[in-house]
Amino acid sequence: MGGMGGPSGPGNSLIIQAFHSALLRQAGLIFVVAVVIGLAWNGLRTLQYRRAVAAGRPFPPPRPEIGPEPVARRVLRIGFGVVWVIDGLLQLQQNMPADLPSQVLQPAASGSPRWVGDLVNFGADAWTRHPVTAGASAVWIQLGIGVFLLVAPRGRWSRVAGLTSAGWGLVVWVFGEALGGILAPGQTVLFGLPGAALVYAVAGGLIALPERAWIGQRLGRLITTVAGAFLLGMAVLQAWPGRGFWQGGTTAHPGSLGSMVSQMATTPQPHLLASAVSGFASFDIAHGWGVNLFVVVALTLTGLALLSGRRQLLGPTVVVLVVLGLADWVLIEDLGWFGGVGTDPNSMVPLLLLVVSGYLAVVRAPVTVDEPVPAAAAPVRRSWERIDSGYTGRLALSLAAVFVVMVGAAPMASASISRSSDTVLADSVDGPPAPLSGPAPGFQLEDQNGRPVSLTSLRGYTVALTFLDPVCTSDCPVIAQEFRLASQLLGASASKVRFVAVAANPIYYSTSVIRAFDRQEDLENQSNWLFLTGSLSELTSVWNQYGITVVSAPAGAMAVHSETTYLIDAHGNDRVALNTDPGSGSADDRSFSEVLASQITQVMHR
Amino acid sequence: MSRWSTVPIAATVALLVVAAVTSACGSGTSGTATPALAPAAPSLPVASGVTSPSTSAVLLPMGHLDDPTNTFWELFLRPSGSPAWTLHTPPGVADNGGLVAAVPTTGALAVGFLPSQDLRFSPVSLTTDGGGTWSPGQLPVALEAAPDALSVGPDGRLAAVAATAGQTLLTSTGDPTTWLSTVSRAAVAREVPTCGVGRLSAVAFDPAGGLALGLQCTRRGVIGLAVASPPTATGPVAGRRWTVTSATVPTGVGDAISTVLRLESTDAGLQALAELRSGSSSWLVALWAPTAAGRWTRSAALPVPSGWSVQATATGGANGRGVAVLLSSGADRRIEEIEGPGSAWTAVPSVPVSAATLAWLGGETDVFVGSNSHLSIWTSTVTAAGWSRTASITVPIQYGSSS
Repeated sequence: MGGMGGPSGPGNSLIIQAFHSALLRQAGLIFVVAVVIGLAWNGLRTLQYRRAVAAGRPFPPPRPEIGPEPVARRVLRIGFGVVWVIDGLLQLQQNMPADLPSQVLQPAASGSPRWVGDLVNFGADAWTRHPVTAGASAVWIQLGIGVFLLVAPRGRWSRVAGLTSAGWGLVVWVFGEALGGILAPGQTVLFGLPGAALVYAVAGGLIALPERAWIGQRLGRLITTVAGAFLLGMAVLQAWPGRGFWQGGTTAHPGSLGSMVSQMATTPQPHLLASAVSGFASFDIAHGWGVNLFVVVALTLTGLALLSGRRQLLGPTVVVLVVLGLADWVLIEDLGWFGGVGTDPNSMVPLLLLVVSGYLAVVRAPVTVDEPVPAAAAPVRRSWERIDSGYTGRLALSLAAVFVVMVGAAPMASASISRSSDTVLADSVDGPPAPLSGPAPGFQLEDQNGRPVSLTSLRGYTVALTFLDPVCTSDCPVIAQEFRLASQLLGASASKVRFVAVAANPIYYSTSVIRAFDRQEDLENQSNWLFLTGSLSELTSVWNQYGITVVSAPAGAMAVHSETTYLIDAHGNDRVALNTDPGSGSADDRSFSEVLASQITQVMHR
Repeated sequence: MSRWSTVPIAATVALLVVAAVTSACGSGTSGTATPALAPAAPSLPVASGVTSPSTSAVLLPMGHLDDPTNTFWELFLRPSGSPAWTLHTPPGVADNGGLVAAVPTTGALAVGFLPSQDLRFSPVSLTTDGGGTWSPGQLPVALEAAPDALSVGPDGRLAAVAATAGQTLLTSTGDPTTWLSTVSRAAVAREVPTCGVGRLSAVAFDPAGGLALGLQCTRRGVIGLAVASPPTATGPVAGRRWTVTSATVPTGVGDAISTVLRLESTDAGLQALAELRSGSSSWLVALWAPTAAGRWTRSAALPVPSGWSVQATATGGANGRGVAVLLSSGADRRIEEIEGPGSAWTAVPSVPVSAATLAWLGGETDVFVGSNSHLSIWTSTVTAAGWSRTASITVPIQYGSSS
């Protein structure tokens, strides 16, 4: 409502409802596909059994002797599988679809260079326009990757799972975490630098390596060395003067770390945890210098110990890192997942998993690794009979996991390149369109070119009739653009539609001012656009007949008017009333246009 | 093992470099580099006061000044002889972008709305009864954000400096909805090369209908006041040539570049206020001319103290030819006034803090202090020492109406 703000619609509840419906539909689809895959697997097993019995071979056939999966890889694979599953479950939170862009994505980019902000805005814009699709997709992609990592322990499928994890991790790191804030001021490893998703991507990359890469200590030493260098770098950042970590500050003006932790303590969470986090914030405010000295020394010593490569130092260092890392995870990162839009357990847990895996790759490195091959030892005639029965089980589970990922990835990819918007956005702001019946009130006004226009003269056309203030600064230009876009969306059908606005300002309603508005909105050459005006008494009569309130407000406020669009069929009957208050978000404008175009199409075909 | 012995060192060096670079980017002291900006429109203080023989007008922002959509500009008028200021903000348009008033010596008072949010042209309101009723008009484009971007001529025609389309001077045909493009900034720049025109910053009709332009000059040592030649008492302005008429800048600030902040018509001719800048120093100079084409007389240069800037300006004074300047530094304020040609700048002592704008009526200086919806008016007279609060007004601001 121009100058007034419209009554809020059903709000996010419609988006939440649509989100839950989408999840249920997709879960149903996944269930069906899982059943089909299960039946296929069972059928294959049955066939293998019958053939084996007929040929007098044992069933299940003896498995080829292969060595166990390297323990470091197993820790990494299972650990990150579980973390991805947790992330997927966190995406189920009901506020994710509507609030993730404004509360997570865009704040993540604050302080980063503009090009990073542009990348994040690309992702945030796609999510904002398709909150339901994106919200549900994120659930399935992350659950799918987690399950994929857990059920595919060896071989090509396991490496594909690692690659998938690395790929999606990078997507999240770039578009969701603004490169983990590495280019933003004031970031610290204690609070998430370099971004959890980057650690996921690194871990995925390691899992995607051929298993022979895990032979010997080479890979483990590389992991611990890079981790050591990383910790040293973080120590330098932490000690750098002017970044605010040496100052505890005051309760009113806490230092950098105290400020971060104090803010986390205000997140809705269990009281015990909030008290612990808040207590640490107070401790840091009181002893900021000491806390930072401890952090710098700890990062430096553990970094040097990992860099040294000395085996006898690695064990104690990893223990210290795990203890301090868990303390950081609880007291500073606040577990990462509270507040309704927590997307992951933050970076410390994945970092620890990586370090522990590196340590295990050094101290429990296998001498040799036998990679599994999907073939039985005995010669058989048909290819499917060569498939190891254990392999078929893993294959079935892997296929199911891949399908889960695809259930999320396909709509997500489509949403990210689509220029349309979910219509639920418009509905969530203004409520659904209201059906009407009966003849629309007649009027006799003149258009922007001074030609007389009446409702009767518009017979034969479907009419979208709204009321616009030509000197409005906010909503009316947006609504005009929604009309313009709706006309484009209608394509050839737009020639059978007249988009009509009636001037809704008791002072500025001259033909010249509505022409100025048309020029401003690039509507001058749109042949199906009519901006009507008349004398004040004629306009007042039309406003009254259509129930439009128009009031001139004092002290520099714009004229106030209701923002309703009536759809009138070709016979002059009212069919639908839409609240066209665009709300506060401009990214959703297209959604209104799509609702409008869709409703016009329905009225045209009645 | 030897193969790996160099890795820690290389990795450490690389990480330390990355950390150092990242740290430098993130440190509060260094920050990110800001690209050099091309010369932009000068930020002219739009808050202003104008006193004509019939009416005094004051414009100032009120509401929540840290939120553009809840900042509303208000117009207060005080007819000659009236003891009180009253709110007369023209209705029908959200004025969050600012207001510009043209107060002629006779005839209609015009107010232009500066665009804000999605509105990209400037509605105009005119009143002939002291703000009792307003009639609408509009520029086809956006008005320049400058206190004298709009002027009313003796025959009722309007002249306006448009900010858009490369800056153009527009004149109305008499109907405030029909405008002619008169001259572009580029054309003026070609015709007055001695100025090196940066922007058109003000316009005024003189009492005889001659049209003058205030300019921002990028050439040093010139104050940009240009007139149409021959003067335009009647007939269209378009097609006439423009010449610079102003004097050079005062001795001692010869290397300064100038911007005309104010250009007003008075019964006695035209008066102007220019800001001169050289490095971090700035000065103010008042100028007067009997007609647009006449010779300009200039005041001594008033140095603006370091850390201070022009908050608002007013024209008026005892003989109607005075110029007053409200300077600000944080919440501190000071006022400097000059009565007319041959006078010296004088400081008004103990100005109320946080004053937003001022008016100068005869022997009385009023300052306006806004706080959200509340306005206090403080008055200093030549006969009484100090300031006294003479009015307290609550403005019915409609918060949230522009969002």
